[in-house]
Amino acid sequence: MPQLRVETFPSQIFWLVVTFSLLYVVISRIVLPQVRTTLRARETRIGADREQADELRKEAEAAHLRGSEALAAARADSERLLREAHDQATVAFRTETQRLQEALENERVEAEARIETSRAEALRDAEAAATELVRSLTSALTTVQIDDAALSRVVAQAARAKTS
Amino acid sequence: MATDSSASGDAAHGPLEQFEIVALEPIRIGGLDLSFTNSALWMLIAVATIAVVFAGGMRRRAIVPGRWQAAVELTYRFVANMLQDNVGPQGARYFPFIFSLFLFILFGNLLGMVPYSFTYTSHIAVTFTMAAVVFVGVTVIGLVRHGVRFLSVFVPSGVPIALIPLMVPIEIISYFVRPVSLSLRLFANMMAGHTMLKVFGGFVGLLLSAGLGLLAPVSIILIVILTGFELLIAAIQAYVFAVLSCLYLSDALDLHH
Repeated sequence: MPQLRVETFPSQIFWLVVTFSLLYVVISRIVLPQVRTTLRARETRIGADREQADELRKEAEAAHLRGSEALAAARADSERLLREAHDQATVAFRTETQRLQEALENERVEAEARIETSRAEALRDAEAAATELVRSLTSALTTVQIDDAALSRVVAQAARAKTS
Repeated sequence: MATDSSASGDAAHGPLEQFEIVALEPIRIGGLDLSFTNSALWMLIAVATIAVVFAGGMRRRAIVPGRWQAAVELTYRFVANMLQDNVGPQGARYFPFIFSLFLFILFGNLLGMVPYSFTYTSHIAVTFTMAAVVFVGVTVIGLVRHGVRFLSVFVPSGVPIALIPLMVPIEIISYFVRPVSLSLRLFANMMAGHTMLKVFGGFVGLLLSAGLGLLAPVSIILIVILTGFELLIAAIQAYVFAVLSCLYLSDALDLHH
């Protein structure tokens, strides 16, 4: 078995030590620092990216909050404006209605007063005409002297009895 | 094997011939034979391959790695996690050694699968030297860290006093057997696998020379299956060697756990 040939051991061990030392230097001085810096750079990069993403997310959330606040304020404003306009219109409607009603009432009252006046005048004219007619008829048909004042009273009484 | 078979050239070589160490450049220093051999050549090839693969993979140091860089980072994280899981944060300073050890064995095993190459991990001199370095290193680390208290690794905790005289010798023996088992496991696995491949390869020649050529494909199919199996073994044995080194290191850093 070649493995047990002791005379080859020094050479094997010597070259093992030489090549392994060489490998150790290459690994520890060149390869591992490169891998470590790369991994660290990646971690740093990922950390920074994550932080940035966090910040952006916070900003977006704040903007969203501001937006919804503005929207709520605008909605409240619009509701308030609507209500105010509605109230104003209601008030205007009421005052106008009242004014018109009052005007109408005044006109009605005036008209009634005019009618009353006209009626009283017409009554008075009719009484006067009736008095005159009675007197004319009486003086034409009889010789009875008629007291004017008494005649007026009688006619007025008759007219009142008729109308009431 | 029929070493005198004249019909097949390659089959004439024994299955152990592949482990023969051949001096490529004879060097003698102070009576020691330190020749540059095929074993040394393949160690150098392994180191060069590792350097090219790992330094080359990291040449861009991209934030978003490509396939090559991802493979290097994956290997780094694999070994780093292994050390973290078995030793904990205090094992970090031994990471370059464990990483080098793992790669040196892994590439030695894998390059050994290349036809006509040489598997330096199939030699007990190499595996035992590595195991001895781990064993001595771990023992020194334990002694420096804990002083005399380090000897308490030989006294298992939670054992009745009456059993201590029995347990301590067992623990001492099992401690000193560690480098032996560690080196034998790797050496035996690599040697057995390569011998088996060679034996099945030799069968092809034998079958052909015996006029049973129709049976040769069976042997070839077996070789294909075994080759895949050997690739698995190559990776697993490198992992086992590194994990056990981590466990021994963990024992020394952290008594009783």
